[in-house]
Amino acid sequence: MRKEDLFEILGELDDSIVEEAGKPVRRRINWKALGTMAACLTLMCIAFGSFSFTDRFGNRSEEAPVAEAPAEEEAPAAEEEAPAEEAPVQETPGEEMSAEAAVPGDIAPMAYVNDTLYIQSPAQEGYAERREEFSYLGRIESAVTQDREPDQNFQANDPIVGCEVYQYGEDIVIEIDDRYWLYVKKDGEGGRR
Amino acid sequence: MKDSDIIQLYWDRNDRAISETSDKYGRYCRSIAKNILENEQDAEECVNDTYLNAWNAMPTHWPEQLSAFLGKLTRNLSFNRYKYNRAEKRGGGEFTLVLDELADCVSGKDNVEQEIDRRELTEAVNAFVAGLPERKRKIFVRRYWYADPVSEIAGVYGMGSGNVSKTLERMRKQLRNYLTERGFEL
Repeated sequence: MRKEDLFEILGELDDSIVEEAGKPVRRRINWKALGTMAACLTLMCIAFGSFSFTDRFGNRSEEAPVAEAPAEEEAPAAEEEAPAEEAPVQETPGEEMSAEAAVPGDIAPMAYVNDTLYIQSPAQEGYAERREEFSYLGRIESAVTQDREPDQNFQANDPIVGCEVYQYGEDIVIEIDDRYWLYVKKDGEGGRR
Repeated sequence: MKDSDIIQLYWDRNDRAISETSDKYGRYCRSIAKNILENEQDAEECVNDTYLNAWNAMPTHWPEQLSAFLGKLTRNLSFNRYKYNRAEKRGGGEFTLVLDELADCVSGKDNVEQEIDRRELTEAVNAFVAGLPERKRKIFVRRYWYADPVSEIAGVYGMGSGNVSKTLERMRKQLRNYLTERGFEL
């Protein structure tokens, strides 16, 4: 059998399987990674406290007793929760690809539609009853990582490829997991680039 | 407009069926065609042919899932165009990589002597894909049905590209073993 034949056979997959894969996926929060981040933050705070202690008393010794004691208590806990090198879960060749991390540097959910950058509004209401006022624009076609602004039409920085986008006045509404989310123009200049 | 209303337009032989399909699924079909063809003009022609094929198929067909129905039409038309382009020494790129990956699962020889029951093989492939864990299944289908680039899959699932490639490689091996164990000499 040739590879082209296999590609054609794969084309006959059940509609439900094809449809399912075409649906958007929601990024799950990786509590393990968040826990690691929290532990790191704690360690940084402690280290900062240690530095302050040394500075305040003009003592440059690293054996500042007050600051070091809690650090020793924290360190093993952090290691147990997740080794530092495993923190970026998506790079770990793990079997189950457990989840995507809410990594530092993530920015607000945005979508770039018809040459305009929109940002998810913090003020969300029930938009389902206003469905008649929506005008269908298309679907989100691609996604970038959450630390980047989308810059291609029908692109988001959230894994919502396939979600339907509607015009709603000057703003847009995106249907995600059977719920409508309002996105407003990112800045006063209309978000246009 | 709801899918059922669009399908009804086809059944009523109403010209609006095409424009409504284009409005709702034009981008979806275009993205599939572009993944395979990587050529705007060819992709656009395949999408237009998709509408024509849909028009010819409905009635008598009433798709249960309009998006998958249209997607399959686009995929088949685009792949036929791809093969034509390849024969003309045109095309290539990302989609060629998709096919090359699938070469892991097959011998690459024409099985003229041993006629494989295509229906049984299709059922076996379906069973294999259906049995994958949901997340892996979606990654597999995005790559080998939608022909999505690895980088895009990585973006959608928040994974590294290397991780996606390794996951796909493991699944290809599993597929080959699965089919071989069931007597399919590929």
